Amino acid sequence: MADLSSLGNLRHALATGQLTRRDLIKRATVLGVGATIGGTLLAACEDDGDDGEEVDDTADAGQVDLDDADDDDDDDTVADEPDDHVDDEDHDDEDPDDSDDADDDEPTGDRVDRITVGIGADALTLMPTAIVDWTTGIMISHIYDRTVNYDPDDNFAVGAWLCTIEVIDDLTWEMQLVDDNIQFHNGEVLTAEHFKVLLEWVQDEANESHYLERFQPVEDIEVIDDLTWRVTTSEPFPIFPTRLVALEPVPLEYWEEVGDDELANNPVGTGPFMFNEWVRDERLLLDRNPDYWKHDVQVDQVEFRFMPEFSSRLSSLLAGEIQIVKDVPIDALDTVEDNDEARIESIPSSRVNYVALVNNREGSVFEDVRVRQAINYAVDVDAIIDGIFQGEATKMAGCLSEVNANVNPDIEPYPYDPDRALELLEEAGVDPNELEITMDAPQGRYPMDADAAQAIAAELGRIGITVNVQFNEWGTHLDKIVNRETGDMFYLGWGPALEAQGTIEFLFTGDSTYSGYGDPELEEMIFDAGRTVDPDEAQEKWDEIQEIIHEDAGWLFLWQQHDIYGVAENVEFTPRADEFMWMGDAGPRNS
Amino acid sequence: MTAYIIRRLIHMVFVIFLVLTVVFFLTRLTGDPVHFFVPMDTSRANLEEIRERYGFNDPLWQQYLRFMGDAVRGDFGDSLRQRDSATGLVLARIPATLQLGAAALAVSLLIGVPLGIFSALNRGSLGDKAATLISVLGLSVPAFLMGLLLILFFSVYLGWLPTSGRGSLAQLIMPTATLAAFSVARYARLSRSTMLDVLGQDYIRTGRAKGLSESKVVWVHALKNASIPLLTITGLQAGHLLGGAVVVEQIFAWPGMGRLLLQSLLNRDFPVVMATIVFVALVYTLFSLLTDLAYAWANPEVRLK
Repeated sequence: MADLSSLGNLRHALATGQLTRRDLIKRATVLGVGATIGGTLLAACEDDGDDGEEVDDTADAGQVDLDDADDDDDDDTVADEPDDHVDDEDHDDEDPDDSDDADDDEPTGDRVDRITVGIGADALTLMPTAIVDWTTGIMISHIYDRTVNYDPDDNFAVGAWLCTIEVIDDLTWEMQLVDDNIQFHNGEVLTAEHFKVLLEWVQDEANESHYLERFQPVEDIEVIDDLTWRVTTSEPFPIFPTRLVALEPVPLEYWEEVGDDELANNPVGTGPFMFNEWVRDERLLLDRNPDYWKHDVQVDQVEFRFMPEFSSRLSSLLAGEIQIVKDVPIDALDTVEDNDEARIESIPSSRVNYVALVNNREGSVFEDVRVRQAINYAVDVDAIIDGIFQGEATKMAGCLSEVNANVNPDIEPYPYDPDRALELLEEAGVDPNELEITMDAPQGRYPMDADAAQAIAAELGRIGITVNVQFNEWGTHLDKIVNRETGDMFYLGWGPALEAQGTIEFLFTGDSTYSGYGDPELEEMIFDAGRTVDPDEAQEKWDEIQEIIHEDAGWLFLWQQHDIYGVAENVEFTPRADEFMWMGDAGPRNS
Repeated sequence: MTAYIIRRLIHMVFVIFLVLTVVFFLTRLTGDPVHFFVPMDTSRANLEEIRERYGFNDPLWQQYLRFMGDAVRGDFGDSLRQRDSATGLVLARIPATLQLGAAALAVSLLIGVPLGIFSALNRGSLGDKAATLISVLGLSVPAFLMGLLLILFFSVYLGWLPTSGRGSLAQLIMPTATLAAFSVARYARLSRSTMLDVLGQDYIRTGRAKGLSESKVVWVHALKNASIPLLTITGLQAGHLLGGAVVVEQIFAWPGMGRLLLQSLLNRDFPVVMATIVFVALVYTLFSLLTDLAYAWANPEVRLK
């Protein structure tokens, strides 16, 4: 703990101009690393020197390095997406002609032999639309195709992929296949029937699909013809296009023939890569699909190598063994940039970080809006982004980030104004010097989370408020939040948050478990907006809701995370805001 | 002898039963597992239904009895996160862990024991001091630090060895070295001290006086007697190697059971945790039984009763 408070001190030196940013990072790194090694040496001293009379076999069983910000065991992600772009079909401008002519006469020099992706965990299954898990979803989406997808050319609004999507009326959606000859890797031709059968499988409780709840309002699925299918919902369901992203059709004849287990272990999709081999906890190997319907694939093989330890993934990248890693920690940026084999690719992610100011709990000081606002005035978010994140985070004005399709662009962030904060506290009758707040924070779950939490506490300390930061192991943190046992502040991230409903309705209604902020009137407005199918009308409602949450200082608004990838120099790879790490459009890079 | 083995086997069952009981309650203390295998936005009603379905709402003693009832039949249930049987997941990872453990044990014996003997024979020499220094390092540098340093030096800097994974012999080298470091040191220290002990005994002096060659004195007569304590710790080392595998497998992405245990602990995947623990307990107790048998075999004075 000592090192962290010193980090806080360093942070101060930075804010007051006594220290440059680079120095801060250097010193912080030294402090962090120093503490780790110090701790371990102490622990190790205990089994040093005895010559084996009694053997303590548990000595190193528990020594796992918890310092890296790498715990990326699959974030639970919420899929979501906007409704205002659903019926334009024009972003499907890739001519979907069968590109089987592309592979024979093309020199392999235009392709990469193999891209190995270092990823923290194994897939939990290769059956699509079954388990919500980031890692699992990424791998599945290389073998299968999504029904619709986030479109990077359209600020990640949902656009056509296998199907276009169109609103017929408030309760009816029509999907149309973009091509009449999309084939599975075994030759089976994709039809509207495939979507219907899979969606019905999801709806069958016996299959325990995580997506069952997400498709709850879907009442009826109707095949119109080979290329067209319709969905009728029991209530207006504007988030439906977002939900469809996860629907990845499987070959029916094959499924029928081999059964569930074999389909999950030996998948056959329509995607850019074909299944080759899956060794649990070791790797998933995929081969290029030479006949990919959408475009020519420029990678001969993709390997996902499961490497739980971040430092090992980074070493592998630097040694040239793997080509892509996600979530490079801030203090390793220079290491990667200085290496000849690799570079950094970074993009503001749709995942947001915030500090909840619990207002809906008896006795919380944050019941008073002025105190919540004061917190927002008192924390210099820009300085934290510069100092701790080396600029690799993007400040958020309100509860939605810039890449969220429904963001209200007119909202201005709270300026850094400690005097205003003190005024507000005085108005509220709160003496900051008497105020003591506990803030729960995870460690290693989000980029630089422990340092950022410590810095926020230090910022508030400058106006006299005592903030005790309580660091939790992720599981404990989540339990505390769910059971409402956190301090009056807690640090959390959420994403991918690409549209309003999946974010706002989930976070700010009911007892607002994950946001700590709720208001009965606001809740009504949110439910209303969430049942509005017309995009413009819905947007107006979301705009107003965001204004209220901002005015009312529902959170201490922080930043969007940046997804920071380490990428081999010879590989062309474009990171995406929706966390979709996809090799389908990767290729060789000539530098 | 047979009676002894049977009694020990019964003893083993009892130990495993105890371990299972303790671990069962310990894991339950960590909290609600449901959030770890369903999406965050699952509705409260649905969460409740899932808890009901998995029996997490039942009184703990009921869950315990149910679990024990199934465990007796070798059924630990399905993994909460992956929809596979926990036993199957563990079984699939055993070969990798055994391979690593066996390699590390072999390396420890082949390097540690000769190193210790060398030290004993050259007591006080520079070589002895160097060996002692290496041993102390091996005992005191934690596995994850050593693993990372090895990776940095041999993979990133020199580019000689692959950083991680399993398959080729080259990939086995660093994990084995990391896992074996502690045991090598321990064997070296122990064989040095017992060897010194034995070499001071009367019968060694007699042997030398009789004109036996020095190598015969050391490698046959002295080593035979010095080997008994080594046998004892070999049984215990097995447990150490399994424990160490958790860290080493994590660092080197070795697809074994230690890594599975860590992942399932962090994700509160109770069935997998329990299945792994049973395996660890089984190996540990088996090894300790084998050690005792070997002990009796090596030293006829020992009577197993």
